[in-house]
Order: sequence, then C-alpha cells, then structure tokens
Amino acid sequence: MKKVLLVGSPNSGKSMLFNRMTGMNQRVANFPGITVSTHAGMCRDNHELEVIDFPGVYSLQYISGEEEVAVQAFNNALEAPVGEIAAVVCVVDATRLEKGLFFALQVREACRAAGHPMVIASNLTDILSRHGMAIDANGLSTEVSVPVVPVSARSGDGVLALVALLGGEMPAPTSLLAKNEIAVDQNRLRNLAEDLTQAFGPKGDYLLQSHNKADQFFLNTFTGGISFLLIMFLLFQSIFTWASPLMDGVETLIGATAEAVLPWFDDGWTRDFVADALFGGLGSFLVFVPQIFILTMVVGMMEDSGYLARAAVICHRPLRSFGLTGKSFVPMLSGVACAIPGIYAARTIESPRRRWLTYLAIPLMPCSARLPVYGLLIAAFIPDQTVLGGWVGLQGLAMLFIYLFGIVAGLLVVAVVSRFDDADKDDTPFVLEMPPYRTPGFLTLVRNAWERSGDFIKRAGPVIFWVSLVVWVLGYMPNYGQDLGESWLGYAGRLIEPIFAPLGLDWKYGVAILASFLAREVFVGTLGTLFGIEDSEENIGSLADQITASGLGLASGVAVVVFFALASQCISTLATLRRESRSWRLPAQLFVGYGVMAYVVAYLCYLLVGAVV
Amino acid sequence: MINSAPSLWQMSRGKSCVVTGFDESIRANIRMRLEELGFHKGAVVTCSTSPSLGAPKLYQVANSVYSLEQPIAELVQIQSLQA
Ligand SMILES: Nc1nc2c(ncn2[C@@H]2O[C@H](COP(=O)(O)OP(=O)(O)OP(=O)(O)O)[C@@H](O)[C@H]2O)c(=O)[nH]1
Repeated sequence: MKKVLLVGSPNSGKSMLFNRMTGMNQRVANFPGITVSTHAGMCRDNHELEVIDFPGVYSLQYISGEEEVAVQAFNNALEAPVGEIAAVVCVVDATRLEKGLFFALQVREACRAAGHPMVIASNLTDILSRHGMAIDANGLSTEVSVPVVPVSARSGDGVLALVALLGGEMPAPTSLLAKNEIAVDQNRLRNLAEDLTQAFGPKGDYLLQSHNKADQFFLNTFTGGISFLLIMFLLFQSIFTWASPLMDGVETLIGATAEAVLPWFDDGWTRDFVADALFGGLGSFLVFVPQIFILTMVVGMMEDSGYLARAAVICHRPLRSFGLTGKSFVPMLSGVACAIPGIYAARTIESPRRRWLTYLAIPLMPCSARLPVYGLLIAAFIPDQTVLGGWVGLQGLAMLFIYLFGIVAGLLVVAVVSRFDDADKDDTPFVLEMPPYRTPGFLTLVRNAWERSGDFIKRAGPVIFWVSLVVWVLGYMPNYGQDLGESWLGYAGRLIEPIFAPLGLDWKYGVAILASFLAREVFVGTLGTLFGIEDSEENIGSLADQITASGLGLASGVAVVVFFALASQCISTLATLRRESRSWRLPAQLFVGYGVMAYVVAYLCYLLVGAVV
Repeated sequence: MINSAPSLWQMSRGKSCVVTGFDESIRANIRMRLEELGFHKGAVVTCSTSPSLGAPKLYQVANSVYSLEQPIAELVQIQSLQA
C-alpha cells in the first residue's frame, strides 16, 4: 500500500478532503488549527492508497513547539524510501492562493530533495465558481512542473480525478529553484508565490469585500457587542427550548420500552434490576443526550460560519485583562461542550504561558457532562414557565446563570493565578487568521453532533452501567430491596454522610456525588438507581419529581450545582491534561485545588441561600 | 530609542500602506512569521476593520485577513499610501 500525505495551511480544507477520500469523519471546522494530530485512513476509491492527514502549518519553518511537532512528523514521513509515497498532496485554498502557494513551494522543495512526487490540490473551487471565478490550473501546473488539480472537498468535484492521478506513476518535482532555497531565501519563494498568484490566480477580490462588510457589523463596538450577547443568549436558550421536545421524546420512548419489557419478567430481583438499574439508572442519563446534540450543533454552526474567529477578536481585550488571549476563547467555548476537545484546541495558543492559564480555565467551563446534573436540578427546582411575553424561559435563564457562574469562576481563578505568575516574559503575540464567512455545512454539522453524542454515550454509558450495577447490588442487598436504609449501601452511605451533611445532603446524594468522580453524568444514573430501589411502586416517572418529593431543600440544590460547577471530577479531562502538559503536576493540583474550592464555596452558598430563603 | 516611523497600528479603517520594515525590538521568529503571512517589506496592507476599545485590528494582505493586536502591530513600520 502506498501513502498519500495530505498537508496544507490551517483551514485549507485538508480534513474535509481527507474525509472525502477515506469516508471517515475527521473534525472539520472553519477555524485555523483544528487538526492537531495526524490521522490515517484507507482511500475509498483506491484501496492501494493510505491517506494521512497532517496538522495544518503556515510554513515548514516552525515558530512554536506544536508547529515543530507537526513539521517534524511531516519531515519524518518524507524519509520513507522513494516509491512508498504515492504523492504528497498539498491542499491550497484557491480563494487565498498566495498564502497557500508560498507553503506549496516550500513543500515542493522538500519533496524534490526527498525524491517524492507532489500534487497541488486547489480546494474550495466551488466558492470560486459560484462567483464566476477560477484559477488557471494548467498554466500553474506547467509553471511549477507539479500537477495542479482543482477540487471541492465539500461537493466532491475533482476528488475522483485526484485519486486517479494518485493511483498512477508520477515523477518527483525537478529543480525549479536553487538547492536548499527554503533555508536560504524565503523572499524568493514569497515573490514567486505572489507572481504565480497574479498570473494564474482568481481575478478580483469580491470575496474579501463581502467579508469586510460583515466584519464591520460583527466587530463594531455597538452592533458587534449586541450580536455577541444575542448569539450567546440564543446558544443557551437553544439547549433548553430546542432540546426539550427531543428530550421528552426520549423520555417517553424509554417509559414505553420499560412498560413493554417489564411484564416479561416475573416479580423478583431480575425485574427489579431491569427496572431500577437499567431503566432508572441508564435511562435517566440517556434523556440528556439530545441536549448534548443540540449544543454541539449550535457551537458547530458558529464555528463553521466563521463567527467564532470574530468572537475571539471581540474577546481578546477582555480576556487579556484576565491574563488570557482571544485565542483562549475557542478552547474555552469548546470546553462548554467538553473539556477534552477544549484542551486540544488550546494547542493553537502559541504562548506557553497563556496556554497554561487556559488549561486552568477549561475544567471550570460548564461542560456537557454537567448538563444532565444541572438539567435535573433545574427541572426539580425551577418552574417550567416563561416570562417577557413567552420569549424567555425561566429554566433556560437559570441554565444561563449557572453557565455564567462557571465561566466567571474560571476567569477569576486565572486572574488570581496570573497575578502570582511572572508576567508577559517571552510571550507570543496575538495573530489570528480570519477565516471567511461561510454558510455552515448542515450535513457536516449533523454528523459532528451525532458523532459527539455517540461518543458521549459510548464513553459514559459503560461507566454508568457498571456504577448503576454496583450501586444497585449494594442497595438491593441483603434484604432484596425491602429497605434501602438497611442495605449495604445504606451502611456505607452513613459512613460518608458527615462529609455531605454540612451541605444539607443525605447519604444518597453523598453516594451519587462520590460516584460522579468517575464521570459527572454518573450522578444522575446513580440517583436514578437509588430512587428506583426505594420507590416500591416501580414508578419510572421523572427523576426530577422524585428529587422534589424527597424533600431536598433549595439551599442544598444550589450547593450541589456549585460543587459540580467547580470540582474537577472528570478522569478523562485529568488524563488529557497530563498528556498535554506532559506531567501529573497540573492535573493533581487542579483535582485537589478545585475540589477544596468546590466544597468550600458550595458550603458558603448553602449557608447564604439558607439564610435568604 | 523613540522610533518616529508610523506603524500598522496607527492605520485607520480603509487606509492602505506599504510595509517598510520592522521595529528592531521584534523577535526574529515573530518577524519571520509575519513575513510568511505576507507582511514583508514592500507588501501592500489595508486595514479592513478597526474595532474600538483597543481590540485587535484586521489587516488584509494578499487575499487573506489577519487580526493583529496592538503590541505586535506597533512593531511593523509602514508608509501610508494615498487613497
Ligand atoms: N465551500 C467549501 N468549503 C470547504 C471546502 N473544503 C473545506 N471547506 C470548509 O473549510 C473549512 C475548513 O475545513 P477543514 O477541513 O477543517 O480544514 P483543515 O485544513 O483541516 O483545517 P485545520 O484543521 O485548521 O488544519 C470548513 O468550514 C469546511 O467546511 C470546499 O471545497 N468548499
């Protein structure tokens, strides 16, 4: 099998082309620097080809540690014996040809030196043709003596021609420029890229003009500020308003399935197990999957439209005063979906110090694993009513408030830490390429959101299943569910009760919180199982109603929310942080530090709410 | 040393200029990256958006748009072009 190496500048559409060629589903986003590691897959239309997608870089001369890793990976791949690499495909964005060609010329030199063939894939040609423009692929190809194939990764046009070309034999590029030119004279490559663009590139800058108009609007102090707040508001309302019919649907489906399945079982422990642990535990967690789906969709829409990069510009100054940078915005917002992609996205921050500070903020961002916990407690305590003529839902507002709490907490922590830290030494400044505004690709968004929801179920599902199982066995035995208080779990729960008693929580909540240190969502499943065992009527009603009926006070509810907002409970996040920071120090500090902070602040809030209500 | 050459940061929206050089305090790798992105000596740059409150400005160069924050835009020396 021969290799095809896909390289290109950030946001040139490599990942989308990779997905087209392999039928895989790499993350595609309209923001530079989303691909952070190499991915490989077999070419769908030619099984003799293995396609490898490399992270996007602006130049083969790196300026940051992450770029060095990406460039080294490419250089190492080029060391393969001649004949093993079908071709290096350099993806260039045809709407911004000059930048792409500068990089392509560097790659051309590297391929020539290593003796491997090269192809230039001039991507996004669908956008050009929509505006009646084109590049002169033949002319360019003759001039640089490398095949140039116009493609559209989005529509698929030209991809088969590219694969067909890769399946044949191609010579490596021959000398066009003096030997080792990249190291000696970047100016010459740049001038050449400029000349080639002038001669063969699209004529006219219609695209930029339309972007400028949109930028005037979205970056204006007044219109930009208002639209930013409006978009954020819509994001949080959507989690509730748009997701709730879907959630109701899932809940009804689970209820109906339970009713259909349970009569198959005779009364006894198996029936109890299926009712309490499966439908009660696992089921109550599945109800929240639609929210994760909608959240991923909406964040994806903002990203793919090109708006997120503008939001990063708007947020740069405010974030700077906390010690962060505009580039921290995207990792933090991704952290709202899940801390793990957020931590990876922080690789785009060249400044090590600001990246480290961003790591501190991300675990405090209100991630989707917290969503089931918040959703449950909001449903239990906040009435499902609207205000302002039906436009603003109280539950959505409460969610917005809780989310803001997490975000503000993250910023404050970073601000405090950055004060104690040596400021601004050797810092890399803020330079961000503005991706063009685009209509989001609906299918890609749905696929992304579907995949993320699936990942969420796959990652959390087994943990929730096993925890539900263990919790159920411990709670069911030795008296076969007759009395939860006298069960093994009841005894164990009372041992840890003193820890949570100051927050007004009984042992059941204590057990659920302890279990949630495996993964936050486990809290919901565990409570579902516990209430299931306790509730002798086998009522698979809403868990929120059961919480309300259990007599949990508002102050305790707030304490639980605050604890979940601040504690660093997620094992996968800590493991990812270890990998990215290459040490256990940071995750260990966060686990202990945020744990203590969470408990203390939750206790203070409990006292405060208790005094007011 | 006080440098009197105007910088990218001083440009207002819609104005174009030619890059004439860099402040000597700029670090070599930052300069290299700016040059690679298109901000090299002789390049024509247009300030496409200049948000208020000190937010980074948007500069258009060679069919791409980049946002540069103040501390870095101040290091790129320019000569303005008559519109
Ligand atoms: N219209 C159109 N959009 C495209 C095409 N190819 C990619 N895009 C869009 O361009 C953006 C960037 O695509 P990606 O595939 O994530 O780019 P990448 O080169 O992998 O980017 P990094 O991960 O930053 O290195 C996304 O918004 C895509 O939807 C195309 O052929 N036509």
